[in-house]
Amino acid sequence: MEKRELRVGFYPTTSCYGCQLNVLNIEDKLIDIFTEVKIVCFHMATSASKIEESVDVAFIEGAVVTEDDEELVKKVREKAKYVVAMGTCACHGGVQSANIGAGFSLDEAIKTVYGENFQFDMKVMPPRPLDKVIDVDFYLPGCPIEKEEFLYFLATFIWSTWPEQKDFPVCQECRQKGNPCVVIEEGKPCLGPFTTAGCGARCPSLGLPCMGCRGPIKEIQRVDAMAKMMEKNGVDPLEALKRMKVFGGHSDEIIEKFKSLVRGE
Amino acid sequence: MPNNNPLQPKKAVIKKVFKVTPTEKMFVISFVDPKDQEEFERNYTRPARFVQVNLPGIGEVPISLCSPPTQKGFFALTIRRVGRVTTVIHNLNEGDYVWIRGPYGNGFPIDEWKGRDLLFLSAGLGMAPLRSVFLYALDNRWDYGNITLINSARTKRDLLYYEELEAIARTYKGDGVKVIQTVTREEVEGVCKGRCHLYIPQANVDPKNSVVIMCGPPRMYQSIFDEVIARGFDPDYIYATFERRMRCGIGKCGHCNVGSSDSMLYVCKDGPVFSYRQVQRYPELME
Repeated sequence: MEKRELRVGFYPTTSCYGCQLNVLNIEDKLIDIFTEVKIVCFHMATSASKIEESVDVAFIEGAVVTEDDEELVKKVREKAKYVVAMGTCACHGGVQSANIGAGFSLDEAIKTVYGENFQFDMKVMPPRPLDKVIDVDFYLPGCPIEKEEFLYFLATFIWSTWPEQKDFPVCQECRQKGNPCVVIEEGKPCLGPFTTAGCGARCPSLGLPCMGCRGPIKEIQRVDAMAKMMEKNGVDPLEALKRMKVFGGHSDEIIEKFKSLVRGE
Repeated sequence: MPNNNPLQPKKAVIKKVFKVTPTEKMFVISFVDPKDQEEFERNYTRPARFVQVNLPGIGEVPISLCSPPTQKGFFALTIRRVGRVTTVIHNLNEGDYVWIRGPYGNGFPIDEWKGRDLLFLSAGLGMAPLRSVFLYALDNRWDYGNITLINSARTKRDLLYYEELEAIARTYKGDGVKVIQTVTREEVEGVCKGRCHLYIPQANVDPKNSVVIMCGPPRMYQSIFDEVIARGFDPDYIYATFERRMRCGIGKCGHCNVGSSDSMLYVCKDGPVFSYRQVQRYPELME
């Protein structure tokens, strides 16, 4: 088949840069990647990066926190054919959005972290996921992203098509692996039932409860049931909701449930 | 050890690509291993069965066969560019490999129709599976009576196999074969205007002794059912294809089942061809 050169860019906003590092960690496939695609912008890997140039696929990592971030992602959206939100920060707001929607105040947060009278040379806003600022075509969640899933995304773009988004929870992969359920058998507060699959149920396979690092699945309606189940297993529902909010701070369902619990309904 | 896994995809090569309409291409494919081709031909006896086209790493799509079982050595698939997998298939060239498993499905019960007239009604992409039945009936011309085919589409550009069907109509002129091509959304010279059921009165078939075969969007089926039964066609000989999202092809995965738990149909195994009586029993087929 005819192959055309795919132009790819990686753009960072506010995050830990772990997803970009995970791309560079695909060591045994790096040569294949760099021969198949043309890297236009990847500040972490090459100093010959150009933000201004147009790309076919733009992988944007991180949540939008500063004014510079917003300017950057809007510029990238204009130049890119497809925008992929890379990592949970870009997809769902990430850890920095954990307190959003629950009496969150930016001034208070800054005061707690940096102390009184701290001067910023940039304008800071409450953290937002990418799709609240620009249109996002595809979501590649994970904290950090899975290497195999990233390669799958890149391969589909090379084949001039697009990737299939996972819309099922971690529980499915966990059952496929044949794990005993950590909630039912051990009573641990596992967030697998409403976390997007793709990690191969890494934590439940090791007997640990899922942290929900891949973010909530689309259109979750299981928050009530989850809270009830946690309560049954001896976990305080408010604690459980706080746990859900670590990676799902921008999910409306979680915020609503959280508010109603705080009010004591 | 022979591989008897029914889900095993077999390597096949694209022999030829035809551009049928702006959005549809016809791919002529044959298996790389002659044994696979033989096995395929042994299983493909009734027309309009389907195969699963598999691209490793990309996905799998069910596609109806549009070549009749009488054509040996290859098979043809007409594919519209709509989704993730079909976009990749459209980018493939002659000589590229695809992986095929099948054929699956029941196909049209052509042996029960011997001695009857055939009326084909097709809308849009429905012509693709009907082409295999139509060409099969022409190849076994002595088994069947008069044949009329009504092919409809939105515009003349979208009419599948327009040239081929016109050529067939010329070849079989005076032999009881009639082809009517109609478009619904534009006025063009040379083709009729309107939906396909408007041209049922012009068909040269005997309603008492004929078979109605149709394929198209399920929305058109109810009006055609009413129309042909009102015209005196035998309700036992009305057949339509109902496609679903067939995944496994052998009635295991349950993506395509209809009906309730006590009486269930798998479209991939019991279909995609259903008779009018079955449609009455399983109205959810029409959805």
